Amino acid sequence: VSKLRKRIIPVLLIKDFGVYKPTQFKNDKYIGDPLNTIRLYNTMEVDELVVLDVSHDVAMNGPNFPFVKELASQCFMPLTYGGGIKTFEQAAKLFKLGVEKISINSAIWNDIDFVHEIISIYGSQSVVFSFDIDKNWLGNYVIKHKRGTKVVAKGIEAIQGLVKDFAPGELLITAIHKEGTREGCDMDLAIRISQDIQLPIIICGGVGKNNHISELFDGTKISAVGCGTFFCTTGPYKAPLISYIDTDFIKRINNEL
Amino acid sequence: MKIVLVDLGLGNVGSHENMLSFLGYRNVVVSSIKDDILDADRLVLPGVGHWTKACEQLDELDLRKAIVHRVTRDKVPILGICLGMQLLFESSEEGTGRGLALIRGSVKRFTEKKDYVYPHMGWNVVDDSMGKSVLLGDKRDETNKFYFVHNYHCVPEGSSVTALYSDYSERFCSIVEEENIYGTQFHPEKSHRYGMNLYKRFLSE
Repeated sequence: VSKLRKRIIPVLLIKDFGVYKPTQFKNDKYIGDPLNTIRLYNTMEVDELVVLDVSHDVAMNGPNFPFVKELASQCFMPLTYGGGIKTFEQAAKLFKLGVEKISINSAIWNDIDFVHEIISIYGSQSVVFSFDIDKNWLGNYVIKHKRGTKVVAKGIEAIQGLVKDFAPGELLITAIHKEGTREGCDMDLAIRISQDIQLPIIICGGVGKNNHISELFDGTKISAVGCGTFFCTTGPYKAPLISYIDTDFIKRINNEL
Repeated sequence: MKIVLVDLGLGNVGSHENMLSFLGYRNVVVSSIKDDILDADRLVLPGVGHWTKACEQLDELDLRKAIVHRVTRDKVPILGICLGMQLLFESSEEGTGRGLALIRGSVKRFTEKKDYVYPHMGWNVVDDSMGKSVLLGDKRDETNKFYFVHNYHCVPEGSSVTALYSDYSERFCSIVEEENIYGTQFHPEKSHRYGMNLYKRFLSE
């Protein structure tokens, strides 16, 4: 079990200036205004925040800097931003605006050499590699990108090589088949991914109650969990409601109670 | 009161600006210009990144002398954060180059231990039982917790410094204070109200 203090991280998906919550990467449901949402997470003193902008315009033309600046100015917790980052200059600009870590997903499979430059100047802790993982019809893992529409690698073995070659500071692993289901994390995936990789790893997808979080931390070496649906919806119809776990639970999972 | 956030071209000056503006400080200047440092009332040295690069930047931007002068002669309070704290020291295992040497000591890498992942990333507490700290304040009615991200930590020498420690696979110095010189290994700008309170205490010192 990893000795890092556990981190419980709301993951916000943003599309065209709104917060959305999909299920298994489809059927995006509108949740609310991103600035309001971030202010609420602020008052709840969340451990960290991950913001992923999946707007078409961002994917094509890169991050919307004035918008990110506005978001960052409300974040008094570490902020990871992902969406449309393809160059060193974009990353540098994001750090200057108050983003702590940048998350890279699609670019990993295209021209990724700019990551070396980012790491040499801003350090490895500033770069998160994000992988969206699905199960195919045979029940085998595949890595997808472009919001889960394209398979880029069969199996999850490619991740280890990429980690070795580029030395990012952290991994964000999203299980597409679990996302928004509230049926618990893919434990098998969490165990396999953390077996050979000595990095902080955020597992995302499937959390629907506190127990799912304890299960993940008790049963694997994973030290961080990302939650979307669990922290921004409630009830069987997934009505929008921003929430976080209570402090006692955090203390309990860190053995401080 | 003019607060100067020293911009070495690396790191997250934006986050500091955001928090200071939220706290209501109006005269906050992000600068990599000597003259700004020379008339600053408070200096903040944020830093995220690589030791060698930061030392190079101190020379390339010609800031080294100005900072040392302002801090040691004019006794202006300085707060170094993360790599900025490390830069207050003399040398680092992370690379070549000389720090500001405002405090005696060096910077060392964590000794990697089984079951621990590095960098040390996440929230941790500071052991406040060891000494009186300006940054933590007198009233310890709440648990302090702060956000850390680092592979290296400072090892102060000499008896005139106050050092407070945290624990992650080994005890390491997370707060250092010596006269008007302050450093935190963690990020107050990203530590909610715990960081805000610490920032306020530094700025009212």
